[in-house]
Parts: sequence; C-alpha cells; structure tokens
Amino acid sequence: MLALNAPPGQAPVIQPFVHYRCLCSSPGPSATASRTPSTTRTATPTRTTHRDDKDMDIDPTTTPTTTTDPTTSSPSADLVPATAALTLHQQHHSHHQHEQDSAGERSKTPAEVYDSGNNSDPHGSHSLSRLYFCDSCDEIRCPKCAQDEIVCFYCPNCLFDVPTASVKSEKHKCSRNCFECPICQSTLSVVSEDPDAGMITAVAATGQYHLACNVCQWNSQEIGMNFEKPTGLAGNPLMDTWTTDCKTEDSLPDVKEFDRLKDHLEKYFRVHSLKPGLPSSLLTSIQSGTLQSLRYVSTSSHKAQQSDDIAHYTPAVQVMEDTENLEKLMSITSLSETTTMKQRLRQLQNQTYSTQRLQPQRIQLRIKRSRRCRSCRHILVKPEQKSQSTGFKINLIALSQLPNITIAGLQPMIVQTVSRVILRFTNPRHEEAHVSLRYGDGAIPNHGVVIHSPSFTISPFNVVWEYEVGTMVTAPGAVQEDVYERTANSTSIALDITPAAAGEVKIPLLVTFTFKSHKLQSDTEPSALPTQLVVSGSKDHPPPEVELIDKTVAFWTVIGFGEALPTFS
Amino acid sequence: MFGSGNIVEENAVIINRGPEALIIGDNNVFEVGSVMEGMKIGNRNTLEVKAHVKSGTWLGDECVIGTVCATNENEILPDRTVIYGSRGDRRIFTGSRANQAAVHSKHLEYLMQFLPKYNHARSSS
Repeated sequence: MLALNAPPGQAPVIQPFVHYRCLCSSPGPSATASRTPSTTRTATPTRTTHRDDKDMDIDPTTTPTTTTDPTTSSPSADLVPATAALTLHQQHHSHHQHEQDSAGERSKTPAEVYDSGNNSDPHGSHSLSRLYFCDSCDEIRCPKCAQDEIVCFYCPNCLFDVPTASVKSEKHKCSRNCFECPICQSTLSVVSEDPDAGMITAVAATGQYHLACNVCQWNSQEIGMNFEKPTGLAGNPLMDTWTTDCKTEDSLPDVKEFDRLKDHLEKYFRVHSLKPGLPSSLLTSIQSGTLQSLRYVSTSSHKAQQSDDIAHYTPAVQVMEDTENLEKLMSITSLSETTTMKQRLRQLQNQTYSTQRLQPQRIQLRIKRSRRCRSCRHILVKPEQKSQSTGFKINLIALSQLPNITIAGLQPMIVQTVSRVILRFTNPRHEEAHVSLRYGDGAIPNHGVVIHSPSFTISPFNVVWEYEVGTMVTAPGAVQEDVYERTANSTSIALDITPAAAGEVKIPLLVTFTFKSHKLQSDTEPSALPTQLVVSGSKDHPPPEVELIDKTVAFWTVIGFGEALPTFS
Repeated sequence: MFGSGNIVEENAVIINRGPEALIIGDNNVFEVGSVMEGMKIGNRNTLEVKAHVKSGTWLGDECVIGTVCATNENEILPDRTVIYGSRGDRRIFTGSRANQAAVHSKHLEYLMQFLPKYNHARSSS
C-alpha cells in the first residue's frame, strides 16, 4: 500500500495490481479456513511435490509422471498440516476448483482464491517480476519453491572473488584493504598524509597511511592506527595490536574458559556414556566444539547430578563486578560517547560501550546464489561466476516465458455499475501464443465479470519492432473477434466488471497459456515422437534437432482494480 | 556578505531569511542542490548535495552537512560538526580532514582555469 500517494490524514490508497499464483503454497481445504468458505469440491494438486517451505519436508511421494488424479485422500491430508502452519494470522476464504485442461497433456489443479495483499504475500500470490518458470516442469515457481545454492563469495567493496577454500579461514571477511567505519558502517578509504600539498604534519615514525571515512569524517588516527603501506592491511601484523580480531580468537578469555569447562565436564560423560537418555551424537558434538553442545551440557549435567555429584568447578577467570563500566555509564552526559546497538553488534569481540574503543571491522563477504526448482532439480537462475558481471548464465524468469498482464485502462468502479477494464497481455516469446481466460466465480465477494474475448492469440515478440514508433495493428490471418486492440506483441481485451460490494475489487482469473516450445531430447515422455526421431535417424536423414510442440500452462491470477465506491443512495 | 574562495555549485540556493546580513565565510563549498537559509556560516564548511541549513542557524568552521541532511532551525552548530546518515546523526569530528584544504585549492584552481573557457561572462573592463 503506497501511503505516499494518499493525502495526509486518510487511509492509504489501494492500488490496482496483477498477481500470479504459484501452485506450491496453496492453502488446504476448508478445515483450515476461518471464514466459512464456499467450497465446491476439495481438490488436490496432482503433483504432490509442492511442499510448503515452512514445513521443510521433501515429499517422499514425488511422482515424476503426470497422471491426472482428481481426488485422493492422502495428499489432501498432507496438505492440511502444511497449511495449518501457514494460516497463522491471516484469515482467508478458500475456494477450490478442479481444473482439467483440455488442450494440455497434463492437468493442473490450481488453487483457490483468497484475500491477498498488494505485494507478494506469504500465501503465494506474487507479481510476475518475482516468479520463475521451470521449463522442464512447465510450471510457475515462486521464490519459496526454489532452492538456493551458493555460487561464489565476493567482497562488496573491492569485488574480489574469494576462492571458496579461503573463505572459512578468513572468517567470511575481506582479507584486503576493505574496512568499515566503526561509527557509521560505511566503507573506509585509505588515505595518505600527502607531503606534496604542504600539509606536512609531524612525520610519524609509524608511517603515513591511515583509514578515513568519507561520511562521518572519522579517521583511524583517532585511535592511533597508522600504516606504512597502503595494501594488505587486513593481514598486517600491526592490525592485531589494535584490534581483537578473529585471528586471535582462541586466545580470548571466554573461549579459553569454555574449553576448560568442557574438559572438566567431559570426564563425567565418559563415565555415564551408556545412559539411554543421552544421544550418542552428544559425544561427537562435544568433541567438535559446536555451540549446540552447550545446550546439551546443561541438560545432561542436570541428569548427572541426580545420580552422581560432579566435582565443583572453579573457573579460572573470576567475573568481577563491572563497577568501572557501571560508573562510567551512570555518569554519561552526552550520548555521543556511548555506542549504539548497531555499532556494538558489529564488534562482537568486546562489544564496548565506549566509542573510543570501537575499531574498524573488515568488511563481510557477500554471496551470489543460484536457484533451483525443488521438484525437478533443474536450475532456474544461475548468475555468472565473476563478481563484476551482473548477468546470468541461466535465466528462466517468468517474465520471459509467461504473458505479462497489465491493466491498460480502468474506469472508476462503482458498486452495481458496469465498468470497463482493459487488460493487456504481452507475449515475450518468439512464437505465437494462445491464451484463454476464465473467471473464477466462486470468489467472495462475487463480482460480475464478463469477458468479451475469452480466447485469443498474441503475436510473437520481435526485437525489430521495439524500434518502431507507434502501434502496429496486425491481423495475422487468424480471425479473432472482439479483441480490443492488437499491437506488436500484445493483445488487449476488455472486461466488464460489476462490483458487487464496496471496497477493494479483486477478481481471480484462470489463464491458460498455450505456446510452442522446443522439445528437448532428454526429457522425452512415453509418446510416439521419440520413436519417430529414432526411425528417421536410422534412415540416414539427419534427425531434427528440435521440434516445436504445444505446451500449456494454466495458472490463477488475482487482479485488483482498486476500490469500488458505494452507489449514491 | 560573501567571503572568498567559496564554491557554489548548480541549483544551490542561498537565501537570507533574516533581518540582518547573511555572513558567509571563506573556502566553503555549497554542492548541488544545497539550501542555505541560515544566518551565519564560517570557513571551510561543506554543504553536500541537497543539504539543508534551516533558517536562523549558525554554522561554525569546518562543518560538514552530509547528503540530504538538514539542521534544525535556530540552532548554533559548533565547529567541526558533521551531520551524516539517513537519520541525521551528528558528531564532532576530531583529527584533521587533512587533505581537504589541498583538495579545495585544487578545485578552485581547476575552476578558475576552465570556467572562462565555457562561461562567457562579461569582464569588468
């Protein structure tokens, strides 16, 4: 909701939007709905591979084949716990429709309609820019049904590709001259005291270079940090004297104390190691020194005390009452001498309260991720390995595969008055595509929708036409009646909407998109085509590398048109 | 009253909102889009892009008003105040902005060399 557009003092203006729904996070049948829904039939997706992210379970019953199976009891039961986790706070009404696609080889049962917000909401209704399209499953994938993997690590400042092996040893921080300002967390630059400009300060024996922040004008001379050469500052041995950085982590007093405590308690584990309550993985986790073991230590020591006494452990370090810090904090006169939470949390070694003890930290590395379809494990997007390049090696985004629906014309909506809306469908593909629409009339509230052209084609996209000014009204031969307008690669159709109630007008539309696609040799399904290929190959004709076959995708969209004003009484 | 060595860039606004004379010191930089409505400003200050000094404010020496940052009205800012960040944090900076004077004089030299070539102002003679 863009509150910016609303005049002050009023509620945020509801903007029109177009959202596409992904099959994965379809809420379950009426059991989970809090409002009384109008369910006609409970439907289950044929592909039980779509699992809600929050449950984090991979469905073992993944069926790669695409048999149509309208109602089976077990998948619907699986859906209920998945969606019970989803419907934490959001009320929705659900409406199920079983959709059989006549033209396609597969049947998809898209999900129901409910109240969704303007942006991509947790229930799976996204704008097209956020979606991917898996071309082997031929389905929409939302970011939740895509799995992330790390491609490379890089420093955001110097754009250096850090080899994966040295990432861990450098503690995920840049090992060159990249530091961030302790005060404002912006990047520091290495500055020299320039003798040429006549600003010869007393030449310090330690050298000429120091770090300076361009935003808050902090420089490292305030804490006495000077360098002799401007490169390789992170590895500079002088850095260690100024910072309690991660390289000397093992010598920190709290880490040493933890090791001692572990050693002390470990002998008790060896004695009682056969207790059934302790998992056998406990010993390995202690030896690997993970922090999780701390949790196990506390519970198991409790059990140990019930049967045996552990010798009293005297810590090597006494935690003193921090009176010095307390007095300092009690006598603060100006807030500029104390650190903010953000500054403190950047420096986890000592988390000082005093700004004088803040030190520049090395900049944390960032990653590039690739996304993978959860069901078929094909890669959807994969960025290039080089950190400087922002392109993608594989880029299967929905914007380039599915028609982009935009609202091209909108009349103000008034309850019980017909208003006309123009929807423009833009075809990004290089072949002609066919679209048919259907209104999902089980929605609440049920607005009257008349689609003038429920079935139409869209011309393919041609780069040449991008440079032509003005619309090109083409009649590609096929007779399409009642299309509102046809331009280069888009078709606009008209809808007549009669809002039934005041408030936000949202209509669900089932879009069936048929397009020609190259049939890959690898994912052949049992059909006659591959055998034809084999036959033609054996006859010494060069087998056709690619074939264009018809594929169909059906998906629900939710289109919002803003608010409908109540009628004048 | 305008000092010497100031650099005023495009779309900078300097307005005197008060009854007395507006005093501007030397070697200040008013970057693009900055607005100066205060009463006084000292030497070697920098008003970064779209900075806003509100009316009645006095600026000391060597202050830096950061990008899109603003002061409050009727305020007296001590020397070497830096206003920065998205929330307008402030601090007084210590240490030297060592190269700043050098950079400023080089900036002035450059402008004095190149502006007459492209900016045909009528000379006094």
